[in-house]
Amino acid sequence: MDWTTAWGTVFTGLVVVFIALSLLILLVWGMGKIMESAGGNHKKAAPAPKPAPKAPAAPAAPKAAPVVSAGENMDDEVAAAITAALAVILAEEGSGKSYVVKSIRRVRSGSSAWGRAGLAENVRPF
Amino acid sequence: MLEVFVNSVKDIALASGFANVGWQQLVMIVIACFLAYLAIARGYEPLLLLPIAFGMMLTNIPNNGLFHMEFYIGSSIDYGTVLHDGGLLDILYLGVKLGLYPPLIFLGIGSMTDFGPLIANPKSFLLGAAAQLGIFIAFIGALLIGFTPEEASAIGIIGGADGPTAILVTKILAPHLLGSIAVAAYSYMALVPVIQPPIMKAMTTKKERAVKMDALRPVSRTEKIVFPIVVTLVVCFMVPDATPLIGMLMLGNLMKESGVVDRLVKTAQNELMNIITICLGVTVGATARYDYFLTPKTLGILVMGLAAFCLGTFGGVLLGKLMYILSGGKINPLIGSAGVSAVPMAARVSQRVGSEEDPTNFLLMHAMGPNVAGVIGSAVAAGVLLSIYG
Repeated sequence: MDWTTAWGTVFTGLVVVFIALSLLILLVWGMGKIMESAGGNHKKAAPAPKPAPKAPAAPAAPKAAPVVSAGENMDDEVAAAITAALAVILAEEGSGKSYVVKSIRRVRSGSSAWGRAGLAENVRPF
Repeated sequence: MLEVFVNSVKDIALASGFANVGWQQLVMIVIACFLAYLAIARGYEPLLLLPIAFGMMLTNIPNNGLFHMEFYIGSSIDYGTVLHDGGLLDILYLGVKLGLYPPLIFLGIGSMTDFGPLIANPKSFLLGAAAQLGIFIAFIGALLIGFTPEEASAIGIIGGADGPTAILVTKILAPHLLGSIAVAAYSYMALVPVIQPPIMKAMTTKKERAVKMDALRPVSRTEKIVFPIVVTLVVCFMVPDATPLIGMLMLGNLMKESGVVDRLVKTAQNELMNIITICLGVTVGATARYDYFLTPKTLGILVMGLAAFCLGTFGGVLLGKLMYILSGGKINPLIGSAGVSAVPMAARVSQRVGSEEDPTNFLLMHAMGPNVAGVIGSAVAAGVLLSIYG
């Protein structure tokens, strides 16, 4: 048995596999960056959305005077819906209290409870 | 008249399998029945294990003329003899011998594979490369126990956990071992959920197994279309011997992602894949004839094949741990074990072991990246071995 050739085969094999796949990493990574920048340019080219104004006061909470500092991407309607829902829930706790909604921030949990439940359902067999 | 009857019955009896069967053939038939049991009752890779088991049973029934292994052993094949004197399985086996079935299976696999997780996280390629460690360590191990370099290459490729790749390499480098290697490869692939978890748990801490990875970025359709073209050009230019497998894998994937040839995709995923699977399974099983299978070499193949699988898992998890450290704990090392291919079984194992630690941890899509990278990695490794010993 020619052990020099054998170890040479092992070395060559591992090096070629790593080089080939590393090259693919670079190309795929580069492709992702190009796509990202192309997508970014596309977004810049589009007219920038107006920053969301302060959300209106919740109609369902007469005593509350909410001041919403919504994020720039927050839709007025979403802010109004959240404020209204809060007002309904908080009104159930009793009258005479007033609340101020100072800010609405998106929770970065990655997915909703429904999303997590769906994922759990799909991967359960595995 | 009575004499004619008696002589005829005598001739039939003497030509029957009962009069000609040896104990080795009976042992092989028992092994075939056991494999069929595993496929049917236990659901171990039934799509291939069942036809393999039945092919094994058919080839060990004496005097049926279905398959002649001797036609295919040697430096050249007399195709005239095969077509003139060959049986049904001899003719079907030409698809293996000419290297037609494994690439066509890869066409079907490509048309069913989503490379999105790999494109979203290209670092997964490294895990797919590290898991090929088992192939090369098992190659050395097989040499140490007396196999030739060609045989050792075919045995090592079992660690790629990729049936068609193992069959393609073996039919070129060690056709006399095809039955044993195919049975070992598919049996171990079916046993991935049993083989891998102890190694994964032994190599990782509770904290590492519980790592939740960030959600993968969405991948655009353009990226998915460009990917198979890039992979084909890079890999096939670097390792031309890997072209039949990688070329067909990526053709299938391009057909799927392009969205313009739905009819072809459906055929590749269903009818073509199913027909080839039947032909491949039954003929590979037929090569497991008693005089080729019941040898000490088969034992060596089973041992080294298992070692290749375990070492591949070890290599993948080891690099996963390194990436865990380098990423500051953002990468779960369990996804490294999926680099051994065995799509999608190995990714499911990563998911299962991860969710045992934390039921809200979903590693499946993260593990699919190394999993499909492993298919490409094992095809490259096969190309290297073929270019050196083919």
